[in-house]
Amino acid sequence: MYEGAHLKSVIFTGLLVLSVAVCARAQIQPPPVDEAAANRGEQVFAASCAQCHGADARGTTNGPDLIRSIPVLHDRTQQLHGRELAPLLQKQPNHAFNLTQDQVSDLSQFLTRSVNRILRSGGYYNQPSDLLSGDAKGGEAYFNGAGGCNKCHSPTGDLAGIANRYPPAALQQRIVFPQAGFGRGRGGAPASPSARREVTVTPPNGSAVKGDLVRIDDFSVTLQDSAGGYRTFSRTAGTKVDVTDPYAAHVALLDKYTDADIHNLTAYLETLK
Amino acid sequence: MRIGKALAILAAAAALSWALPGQSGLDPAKLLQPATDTWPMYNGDYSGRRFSTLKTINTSNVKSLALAWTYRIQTTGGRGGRISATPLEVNGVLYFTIPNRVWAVDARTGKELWTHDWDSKISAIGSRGVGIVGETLYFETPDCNLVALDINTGKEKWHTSICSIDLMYFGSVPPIPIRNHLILGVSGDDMDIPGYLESVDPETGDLQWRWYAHPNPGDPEAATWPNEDAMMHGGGMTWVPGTYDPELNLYYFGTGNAQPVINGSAREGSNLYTGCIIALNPDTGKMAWYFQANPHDSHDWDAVQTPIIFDGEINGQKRKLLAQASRDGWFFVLDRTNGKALVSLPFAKQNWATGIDAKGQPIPNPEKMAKTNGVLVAPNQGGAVNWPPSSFDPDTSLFYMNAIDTYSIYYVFDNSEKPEGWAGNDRGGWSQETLKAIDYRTGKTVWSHKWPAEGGRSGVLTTAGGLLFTGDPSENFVAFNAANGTIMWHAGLNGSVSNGPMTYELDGQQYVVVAAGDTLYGFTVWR
Repeated sequence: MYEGAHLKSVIFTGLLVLSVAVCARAQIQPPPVDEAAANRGEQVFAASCAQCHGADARGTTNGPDLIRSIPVLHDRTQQLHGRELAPLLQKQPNHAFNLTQDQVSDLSQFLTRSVNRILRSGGYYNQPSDLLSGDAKGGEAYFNGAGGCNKCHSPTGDLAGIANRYPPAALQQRIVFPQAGFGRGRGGAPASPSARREVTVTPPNGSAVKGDLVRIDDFSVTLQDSAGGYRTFSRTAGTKVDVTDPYAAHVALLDKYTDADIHNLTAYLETLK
Repeated sequence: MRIGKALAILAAAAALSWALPGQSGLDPAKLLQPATDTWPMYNGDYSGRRFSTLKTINTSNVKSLALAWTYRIQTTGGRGGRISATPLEVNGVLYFTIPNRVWAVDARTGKELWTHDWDSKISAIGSRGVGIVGETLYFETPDCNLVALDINTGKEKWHTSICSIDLMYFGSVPPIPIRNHLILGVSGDDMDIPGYLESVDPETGDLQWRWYAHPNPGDPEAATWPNEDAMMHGGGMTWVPGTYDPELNLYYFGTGNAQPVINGSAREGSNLYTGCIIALNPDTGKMAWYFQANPHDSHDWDAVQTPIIFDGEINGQKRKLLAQASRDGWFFVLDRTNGKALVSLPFAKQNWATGIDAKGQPIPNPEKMAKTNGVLVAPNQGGAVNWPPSSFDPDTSLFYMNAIDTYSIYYVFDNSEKPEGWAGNDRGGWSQETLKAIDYRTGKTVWSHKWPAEGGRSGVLTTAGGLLFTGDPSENFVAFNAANGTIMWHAGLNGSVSNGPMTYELDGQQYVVVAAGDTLYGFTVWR
């Protein structure tokens, strides 16, 4: 865009258009790591590198971030096992390290693993925390009050011992999205088997047929009746289709919840051991 | 490298002298005409409207729309077997891609003419298609190459690197030709890297300019980042091709989300030029203006949805306009001469913005940024719309999109001082998909159609035949009366529509072509 930025970009990419790569997949699969080698490399890193580059390799005021380092990322993607890092470790300013070839290779494995662990595509740490930070009493009040949860649920009935069945992260998801499940974002999740919706189809001049909804679009509807049979109806003019969503009350809450309500409910249900 | 490429061009030119007579490639004049016998670029024309002036298929005969042919791709396995590309149609041939393969298919019969395999060093999530200049077809590969092929033979002319796979960029964007420029976008959001748009010489692949999605250090806009380090690692990928106004000589495109994606705590500020609609001069790469559709994103909502351009009237005044239904749930209409907002309104459920600022840009609510213990946000990470293209119909003056009302819970996973990459994500979800027709003058919905099932994302095509074509969340390709939302026709496919539908007319026969998964379907009303 501007002269300075352009020059930088040329250097930036010029450093990288170097080589023939091996198999690595963008946004999908990280390069493999030899865990034993990475563990050994972690020792090398702690002894020689961490002081300046930080214990997690994200850099300090004394040394740059190695997770975003072009030579480290090149080594990782091309699986060079330190071949091009070795000269840098000897000749870069403040880098007169006399490491063996094996030590450099181990260091490469440690840095590859560090990048993998921090970035999404590498299978980063992906657990929520502080899930019990809410106020259990407030959650109980919401359960019996504004939330209206007690109209369908009971802490001594269906929810008795619920905290033993789900860890807090799953519990929170089941409160808010009971039709989905933990682990799915982006576009929602498929309904769980227990999330069956009931449908009643009344064809023109016919009697109503009830069943579990199997499939629906603007042109047909398929249900499974109580005998287990599948029946499909064309949605011709005059065909009445009524779908009952057992989770409609949960869906209605989505527009009303405060985040505190959700955190409080999570804390409250977690008391139901 | 360049010398080798020049030799390759000479060789290709020599080979062409023996090529089949009559196959003269894409006539450059077609780029400036309504798409009728040709669909010469990703959106059909520079406006991005995805509106065809064809009306051979129309509201009175669409009930007779019938399958003319299908073409099922053979894939090499792995991800990317889904056709996301909008095919181009030039001289009776369709050209389209998946991430590692290009096809030429007869547009009248659906018969394969050639394929070209690229042995990619990485696989990536999608490829939206090709660009064509004259006798040359261009596509981006997952492993960061721009490849030029002979459109008649599918043989490679040359290739050149456009990004770095080490830094986790990848290629997926159809190149857009503007005179002697080929405009290229780049993809990738695992690593904290800057997005950019660049122009290369279509003959040689030589870089003409590159525009980065961040200010220069020292620019006033650099103050929208806490420091230079955050700014230079701030994201803003250019995932989707833009639009072009030849009169103003401005190219319009969107930039992606800021990085790190979900935990934005180490990049306080609005983070220019991520989440923006940008206008720039395609000859120089100099930015003319920006409008930030999504300041300080922390939900993975890029603003790359096609900025559709059209002329219209707002408050009795004729205006050169640009409209975008943005992934963050907001609909914007801008004056495309200067980027000033005329309409800024949500078109789907959103709870993340508290209002708009003086420029018409949404103001993010800090309370709705991801937290370790979860925050309920609308829309979810997939957004109220995503890359599947919207459409504007000048006959109805309506803007159409498949909008999604959706919620999910956003969590910060990495709460350290220096989060990197994603550092969080969303989980769970509920959604309601709805086809909407919006009056651009007010941002209000004129008609809508709630789909009865969940999931699926499909592009939209409108035509002068009074029709709107799109996919439903199930496996149907559906035609609506564009004026009132009445369903006129449908066909069940073998999967959900996976691209933006397109149309063309050959020998007086109009075809509508759509992809669902691994199959391309051609429909027509036989005369």
